[in-house]
Amino acid sequence: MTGEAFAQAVQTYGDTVYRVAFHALNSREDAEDVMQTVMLKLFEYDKEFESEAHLKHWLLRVSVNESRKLLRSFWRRVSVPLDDWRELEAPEHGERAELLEAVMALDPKYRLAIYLYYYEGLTVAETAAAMRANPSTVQTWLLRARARLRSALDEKAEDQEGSVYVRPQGIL
Amino acid sequence: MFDPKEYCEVCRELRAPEKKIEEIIAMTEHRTPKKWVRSLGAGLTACAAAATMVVGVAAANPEAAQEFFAHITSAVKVDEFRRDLTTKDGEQVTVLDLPQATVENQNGRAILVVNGEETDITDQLKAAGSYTRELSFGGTQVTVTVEGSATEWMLTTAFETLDGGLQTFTIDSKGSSMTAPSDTAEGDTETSAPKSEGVLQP
Repeated sequence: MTGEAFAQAVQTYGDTVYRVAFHALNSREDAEDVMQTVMLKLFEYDKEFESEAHLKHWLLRVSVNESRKLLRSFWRRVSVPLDDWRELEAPEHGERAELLEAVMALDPKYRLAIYLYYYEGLTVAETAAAMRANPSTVQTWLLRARARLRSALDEKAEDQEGSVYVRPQGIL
Repeated sequence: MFDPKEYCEVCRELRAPEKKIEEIIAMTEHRTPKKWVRSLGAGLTACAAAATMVVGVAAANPEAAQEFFAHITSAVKVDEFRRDLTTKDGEQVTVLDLPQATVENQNGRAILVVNGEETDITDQLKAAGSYTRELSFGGTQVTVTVEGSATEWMLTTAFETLDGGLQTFTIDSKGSSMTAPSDTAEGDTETSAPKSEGVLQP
């Protein structure tokens, strides 16, 4: 990968990698470290990517793997405050802060599945591939995550006008 | 109720610091590289401050550690715990190999874990405020001292260097770390959060 292509990739996908790592680790500093590690791996990757989608899939998978490594090695020894996310720019509205808090209170695998499925728009199969899990397992994680979020959050009014959610188009 | 649309809007606000992005790009362009320090994952994290790097090498040497050592051009073994290395960039690095020691909070009990061996030190901490264990590691005496409680603790690993000085390495429950040779009052490294400024420990 040329320097220019790499710089472009970092600008394009840096936030993506950061968000994956943040959801996995619930720590801004850990997320930055993982982002750096993943991007260095990208820089040293000596094969051509078939497409932009291939590149993004690769980055998601490596981000999950690197986050997992850090989670296994470091997390058990270091106590990271649950509300480390508060150091980020706080969401403007109370509801959003509540929503993010509820998501970040989930188990890491549930948080990641929610992020990859809803924000990145991956299919269940793609999410499973990124997380090295079975699609049926990911389905279960998503179900459980939604159930836990439902019980954690206040029920919103049924008639929220204009609140029509459209999942982003899948990568492929 | 979980609103995916709102969740996506919140995620959009989660962004990597621009400075970090620029740093990453700059590293690979081989411009005047900042003294970057990166987490090496899987039980290995590197800390650089005042040209001293502390690295604890896990028993199962992970791929990340191998990657790190690929940048080393020369190494001089100073003693059982210490090696002075020179990186590709000419940076002088001191590597300390420390026993794995940490404190875990298990159901409110303070459990000292040293190289996988667990000891419940809750009662000693409550009674004396601290707990000390001396162990032999590679033929050298190492002292591990814990102060505090199961939830808030500070662990210091200390050993005598070849020149008779005392090298200490401290971590705490918040994830901060510090190394200090005996000839500096506060240590010639900074107390830092675990990751980007370095950390430690296997």
